[in-house]
Amino acid sequence: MRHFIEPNVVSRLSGLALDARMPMAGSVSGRHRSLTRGSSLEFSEYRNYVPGDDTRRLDWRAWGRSDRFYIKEFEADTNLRLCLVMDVSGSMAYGSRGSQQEGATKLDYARFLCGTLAYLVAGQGDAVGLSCAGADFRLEIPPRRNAAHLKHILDEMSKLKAEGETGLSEALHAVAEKVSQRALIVIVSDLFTDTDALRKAFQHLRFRRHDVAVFHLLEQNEIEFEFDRPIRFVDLEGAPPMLVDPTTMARQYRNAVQTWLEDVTQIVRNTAVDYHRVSIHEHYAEVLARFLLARKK
Amino acid sequence: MTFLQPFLLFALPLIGLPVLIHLVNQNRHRTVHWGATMFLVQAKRMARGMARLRYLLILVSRMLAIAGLIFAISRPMTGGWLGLTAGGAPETTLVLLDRSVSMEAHDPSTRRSKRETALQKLSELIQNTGRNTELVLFDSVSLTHRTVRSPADLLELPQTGPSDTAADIPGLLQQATEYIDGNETGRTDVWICSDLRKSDWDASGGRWEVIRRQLEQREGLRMYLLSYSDEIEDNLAVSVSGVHRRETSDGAELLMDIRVNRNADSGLAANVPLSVVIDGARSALNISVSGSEFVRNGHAIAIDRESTSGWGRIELPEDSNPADNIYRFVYAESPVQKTVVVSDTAGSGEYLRLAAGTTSDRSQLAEAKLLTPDQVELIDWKQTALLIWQAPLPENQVSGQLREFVESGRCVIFFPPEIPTSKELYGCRWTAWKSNDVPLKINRWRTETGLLSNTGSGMPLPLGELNFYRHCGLESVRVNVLGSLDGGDSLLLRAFSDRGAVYYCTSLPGTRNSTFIDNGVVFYVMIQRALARGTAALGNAQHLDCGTLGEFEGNNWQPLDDLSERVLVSARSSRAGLYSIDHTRYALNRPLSEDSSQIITDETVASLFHGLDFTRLDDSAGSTSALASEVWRMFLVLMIVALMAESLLCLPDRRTGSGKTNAVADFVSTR
Repeated sequence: MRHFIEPNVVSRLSGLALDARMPMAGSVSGRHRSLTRGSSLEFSEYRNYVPGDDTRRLDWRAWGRSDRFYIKEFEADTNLRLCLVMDVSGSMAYGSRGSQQEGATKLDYARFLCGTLAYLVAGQGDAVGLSCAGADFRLEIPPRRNAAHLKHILDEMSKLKAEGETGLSEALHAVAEKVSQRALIVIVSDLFTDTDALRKAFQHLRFRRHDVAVFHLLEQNEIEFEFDRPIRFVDLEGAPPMLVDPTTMARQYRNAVQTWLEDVTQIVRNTAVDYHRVSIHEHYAEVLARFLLARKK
Repeated sequence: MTFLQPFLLFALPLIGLPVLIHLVNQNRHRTVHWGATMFLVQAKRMARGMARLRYLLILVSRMLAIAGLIFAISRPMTGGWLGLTAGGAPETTLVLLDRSVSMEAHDPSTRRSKRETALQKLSELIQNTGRNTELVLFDSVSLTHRTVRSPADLLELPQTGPSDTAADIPGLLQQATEYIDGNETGRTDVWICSDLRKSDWDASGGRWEVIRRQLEQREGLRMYLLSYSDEIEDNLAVSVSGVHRRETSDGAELLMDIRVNRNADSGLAANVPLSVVIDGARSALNISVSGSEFVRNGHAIAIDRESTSGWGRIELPEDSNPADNIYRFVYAESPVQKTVVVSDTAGSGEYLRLAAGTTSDRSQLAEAKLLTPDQVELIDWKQTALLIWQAPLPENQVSGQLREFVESGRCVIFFPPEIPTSKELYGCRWTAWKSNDVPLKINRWRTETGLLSNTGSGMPLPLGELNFYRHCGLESVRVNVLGSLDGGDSLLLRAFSDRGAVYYCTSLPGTRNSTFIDNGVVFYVMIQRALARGTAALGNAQHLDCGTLGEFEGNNWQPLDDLSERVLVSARSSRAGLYSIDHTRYALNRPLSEDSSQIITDETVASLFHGLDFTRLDDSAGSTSALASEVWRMFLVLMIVALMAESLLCLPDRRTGSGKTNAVADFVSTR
């Protein structure tokens, strides 16, 4: 196991399966509702027999009572494609209280979230894929459901580094295009990107009938902007440094953050995205538990 | 602006402390690696306007607070006039005080005169601002300087008290200029306290140009004019002239010309009760003054036949200037107006004799004798009032006799001889005759004083009608030019003498020389005025202007009335009074030029001080506003206001607080 998959968390969450919020179009049988009728134990509907139907599916009891032939149909169960999209832009290297130490950054937090989720999903027989969103770095691992693939994903996940500008919107558009069948797209990012581009990316994903969930990672200081002395802000994504006296612009900063948060909330509401704003000071297990419980049928 | 603790101003660079702290703070920044740069960029864009302005205002407020504190503890002084005390305290302060009669006009409510007001204000100003300055007083009576130990002494010194004299402001300035040049006074402030009377300022005189040129060369010299040019209303001034005794069939009477001047013509007639005191007996005389002047010529007052000599005064009721309310006179039997003409030219000599021997007053006896230079020993030096000398300038014994003659108060007019010699007398020497192809005219003359001055009614003499075909050159030093010809040569000048009067006239009567005889008015008036002046020194009743006596001349005189008894002996030369010594009686009065309320215009004042560092301060008698006062409270208030503004600007914005709360609350609720 990798360090970002903690056994105690996995064992705690193993009882909570990840369910899709909408019918999936899997290739094999699974625990998720399929778009097609199948042979599960879940009754769906009756329909009239037409020549060519499998006679084994005739409801003989109904024929005995009504002297008519009805075909009994059942829900099909299929598997889930989970596509994890991790933001690996420079801003994800910002950690708790400004720390950039390993294990404290937003990327590390994303690793805990995604790794644990991938492990759980693979354990329930679903396919897991991984995409990384960075302007200069692009990784795309399509969803598969074997154990070796999970190992490959976790290996790649452990190698990720937060650097460069964000390429989240582009990455989401790519995912929307390349994942041809319905899938659950889980995005883990701080969403520090243009909100219009983000809206279009979410709309694209929803247009392709994907179930989209977002873990919006934020560090408290990024919102509150609690500084009292002049500070030279070095941009983690490579923009020129800025010398700022926070006392002269704290109000404006907070207003900008407030406006941005309201925009994001509006976007996820309009695009029916399963949105979770996450403080990285909160333990990821709590966040995952809340996420999984909310998706229970 | 000046400061009582100027060394504290060295702390002024501390004003830059907030900026320095700001810059140090900026350089002591820490570096933070930041992800949410997009919000920083937005915030910086939004904060470019008001927030930046607010920050600048905070810095300015802090700087103002420090500046206010430093200025307040430096104890700044300022006056009602901006920049009055700018530049710090001078090393020397010269006070030129006009002590003329007109400066005694006072404000009815405070009863403080212009002179007292000026002294009070100057004393306070110098006390507050120039503690280390050397204070030197020049007063218009003595025309000498006196170092004053303390500014408060200005109010107590006899040299700053009232006087009944006129003032010679250019003379005062000349004395001040000489003092400045002779004493290396360093940075000097010259304060002139005056009411700008035209007669005192002699703005058209030639001395101003010299004074201005000398003062322009001085560095660090500042001129201040503390002006009291406003006219105090309802002031009357009384004067008497032509007092003489006449015997009548009933006894005797005194004849006199009474004049009452009113400074403002309100158009309404005013009844004025005059008091006439003759030899101690008081009587009343009611007159009605309409217009600006009342004149009663030949007013007769009956006296005893036995009273062949005596004294008297005419008094006005109390008004806004008490110094011109009394006029004194003495009377005695009139002396014969004797003139001696010494001439080497028979024709000219005769004209001169006729002009001097013909009196305009029938009650006066006049007598003129024509002598040649060889007959000088025939001159009666004791009885002669006027000596007209148209011959080579005298030498040796005659020269000494002539000087004694002048020193006794009488008058000499020198006319050019036919053959000038190189002899010099009273700083003047004849050079050579000059014939003029084109007749010369008089282009400038003194209208307020001297033999060519305007008449008593203010009319000028018809000098413009005179032509001069020939005049004699004159080399002179230390003279007062009374009239000059086209081309700049002098026509008439007065040489310097302690007493008496010495005149030089550069042309002669006679058709070959001038039109003095054709237009005889000027010539006759000139000679008669000189004769009247000389006669005034003879006889037993003499009328003198205050300020014309030597400093100790009146020490042995006996006062004739109670008012004169109150005058200090040392002040007799400058105060009006009635005195006697031996058989001669003296009436000292203010110069009548002080009764004229004409003042020089603002443009004239500006032109007189043109090119100098000059400030004019207009004040009024009795004014209580200070010339300068401490204004540290103003700076303290400035500091408090700046600190309050800084606190208000530093208050956390309410919207900032609520914005932050909303953002965090939203953050928590959404997760």
